[in-house]
Amino acid sequence: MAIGRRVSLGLDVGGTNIDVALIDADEGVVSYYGKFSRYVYTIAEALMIEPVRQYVESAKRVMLSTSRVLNTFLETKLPSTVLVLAPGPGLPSPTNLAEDCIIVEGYVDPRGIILEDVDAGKVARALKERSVESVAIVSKFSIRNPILEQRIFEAVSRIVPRERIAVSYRIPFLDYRRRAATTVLTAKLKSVLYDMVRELGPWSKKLYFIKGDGGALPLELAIDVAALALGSSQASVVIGTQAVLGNVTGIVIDVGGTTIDVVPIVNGEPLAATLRFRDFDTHITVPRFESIVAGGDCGITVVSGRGRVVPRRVGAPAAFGGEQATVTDALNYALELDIGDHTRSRRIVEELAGKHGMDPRDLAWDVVDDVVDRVVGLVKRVGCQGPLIATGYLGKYIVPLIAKKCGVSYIVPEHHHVLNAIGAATTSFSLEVGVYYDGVRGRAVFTPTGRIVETGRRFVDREYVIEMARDELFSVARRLDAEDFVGDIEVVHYDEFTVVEGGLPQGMIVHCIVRSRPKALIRIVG
Amino acid sequence: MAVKIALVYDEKYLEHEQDPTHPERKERLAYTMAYLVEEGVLSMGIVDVVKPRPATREEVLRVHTKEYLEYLEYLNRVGGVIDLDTPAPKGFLSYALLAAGGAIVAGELVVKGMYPRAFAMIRPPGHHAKPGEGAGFCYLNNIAILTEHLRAKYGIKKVAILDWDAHFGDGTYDIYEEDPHVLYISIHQDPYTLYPGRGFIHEIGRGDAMGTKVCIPVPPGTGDEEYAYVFDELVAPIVEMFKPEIILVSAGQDCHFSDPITWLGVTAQGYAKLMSKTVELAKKVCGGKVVAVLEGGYGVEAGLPYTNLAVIATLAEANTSTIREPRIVVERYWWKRRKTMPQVIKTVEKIKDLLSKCIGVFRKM
Repeated sequence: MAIGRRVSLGLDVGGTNIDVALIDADEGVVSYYGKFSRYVYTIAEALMIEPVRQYVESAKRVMLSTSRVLNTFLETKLPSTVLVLAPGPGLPSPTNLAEDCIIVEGYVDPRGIILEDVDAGKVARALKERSVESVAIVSKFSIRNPILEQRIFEAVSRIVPRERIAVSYRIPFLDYRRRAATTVLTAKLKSVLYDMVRELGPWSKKLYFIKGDGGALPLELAIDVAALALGSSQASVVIGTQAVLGNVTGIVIDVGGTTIDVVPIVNGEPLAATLRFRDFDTHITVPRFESIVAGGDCGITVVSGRGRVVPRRVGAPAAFGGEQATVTDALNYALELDIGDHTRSRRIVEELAGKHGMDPRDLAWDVVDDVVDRVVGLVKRVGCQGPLIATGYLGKYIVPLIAKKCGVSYIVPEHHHVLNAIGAATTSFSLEVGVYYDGVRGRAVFTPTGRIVETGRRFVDREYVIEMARDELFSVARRLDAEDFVGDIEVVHYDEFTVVEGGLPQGMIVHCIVRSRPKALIRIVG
Repeated sequence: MAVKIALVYDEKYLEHEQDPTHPERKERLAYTMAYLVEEGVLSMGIVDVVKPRPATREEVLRVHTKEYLEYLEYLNRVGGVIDLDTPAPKGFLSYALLAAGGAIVAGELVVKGMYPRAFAMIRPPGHHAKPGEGAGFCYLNNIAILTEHLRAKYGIKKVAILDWDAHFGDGTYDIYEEDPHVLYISIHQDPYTLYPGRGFIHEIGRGDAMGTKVCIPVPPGTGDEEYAYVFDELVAPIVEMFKPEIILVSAGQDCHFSDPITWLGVTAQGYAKLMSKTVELAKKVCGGKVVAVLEGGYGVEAGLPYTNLAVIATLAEANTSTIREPRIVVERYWWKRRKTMPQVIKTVEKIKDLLSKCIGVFRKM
């Protein structure tokens, strides 16, 4: 790829590997891809390896999808969170969303009018008495007036580092319980994103995170809605599939180092699911997927005379210098592959078989069958039409076996082993922007920016407000130099009515949310 | 322990507009829905939103006359006015049918056992509509159409309708004035002080139905304590004696102290208490089956979001102890509340006296 062409750089940071894809955006060609073991390289180091190094400078953005946020959520003890809640009148508050909760006075009504003020100093005093790892700040109707949350944020940020505080008005949707669940998760997961920012070093200025809906959000915005990066990797594999295969219907089987994900797609789109946290719905959309911990780095063992996968990552496979037998080694043995140093795979499988008095070939096939059977169970559960689509490094070996058992066809797409990184590299800027227009007060409140604009206009039409929301979206994109890859704009919510006071119409109330739809903007041609 | 109830609602209910400044306008539901969504009621697992369907001609004609329906169909085509309060803009009838159908859907869900209780959050309201006449913002009598549907299709014989709208439900009363199988109890603001100027204590039904219609007028300013007293002293014992198979509620939210067109003093907590008593009563007499159908309520910002939340959450037996109005609403409107207990006690005693003379009617059923 000649220097000077438009370069799109996508990364997928998993538990085991860092996948890198360089796309020539003008030609739609994957000009380079690579896999780097996380046991050896940091993200920044992976970017310093030729030929990536020579393009990373000229790449406008570094687009990163990751399973680390989801894995942290699933596997790690997350930091505790103090939920600061200004619920106003209503049903009992969701205090069980966090380890600790401070209920404060303060109420914003459905019109975004502050009817009861907040004592931010009281919040600060209450926090000083606690051991605080992260803070989530939520007030009812904050998306119609963020001022209460902003006041609390200012007070809290004098005590707690900003990178451990999350506010709910960044999410433009009504339902404060779901916003609260989302905000608590963001407070807990922000540090994962910050870790990657630190790991990226100087390149983090160009960093975009891929969200669970498959769209890309720049670091500046993503950090405040970190929880939206849950499902990032699964979403990017769908976008990658879209980029390579078009609007196909099928089931993506992504065989990673730790997990095997089964992701149904219909006409190139994932089936959307809402993530739940502590028995509450969140505002986090993730692709519907099923997952098992049975990826290439998972250990293997013998149970009752049969080879079995151990649902836990044990480190690098023996084929790549590891000390324990893994699924990758069993595959190497059973299918007589030459992944990495296959002699090491043979040796370690034979050692394990010898300990249990088994034929190593039987042991290896038992493990492969175990993995295949488990995935077949997931495929049956998602029950989608179409072929199986093999992705991930081991996908092309395992998926044909799964397809055979399921009695369906399969596809091994080009670049199947780095489809997540291709998805990250080819996806669009995606943002949901809300505008709450209160004509009586002649003003508009925008989310996620929290910007308030005085317009003085009491009556507006639908197109005017939608245009305001679109303008806001493009203005954010422009400010972040992301205007060139905004996806198609769609209106996801619109309602309006007239306020009548004293028998006379006083102005209009409009709530409108638009979003730039995530999709592959570059079609890979070969 | 909360249960899941059905909330029958459709955004089409926001399309009906008599005129933009009419008290019965779409903001009534728009604010409430925004509040319910923000409150998380729809994601908490206590409510399923169920879409209504339009009522059929056959269902409407069980209550209204053919001539009246034809008149409505004519107005629907050309537009007009039914009375000064009740404009009939072109196309209004589809919304009225959808409201009546909403009540039917709510009732069916409960009678079929799919939900223990349901709230039909519908408009336009219905309880002033008579067999051959619309009035007071109402075109079709939703609760009567529901009642007749339950009787015709599900073999239900005895229905209790509890109407706590601030205005007397003269339409429902007239439809059932001579029907001994429908118990109709209305608690409403003193008719000398409020539309429709009827609902005096002597309106107790006719013929065999005498004593199955109970009108309980309360003075302006009446609030939670007095309503609870009326419920305990009159509503509960009468319903227990009547033994209905289902309790329907004409749930008017205009008794709230912030309502701009009435003069009562009930709070959101008061509504929760009323509905809670209704649910407990229903558990005693009819397996807990309650269907509430929205009637009036015009305190768009200060009242409806809180009262509707209280009613819905109570139907679902959720914890409502923290529901309240914003303090500024209390400061602005609380002056309407008056202590009316002595007058209410007198009224209750008079009604007891009147009913005791036709207690035999209850025994017959």
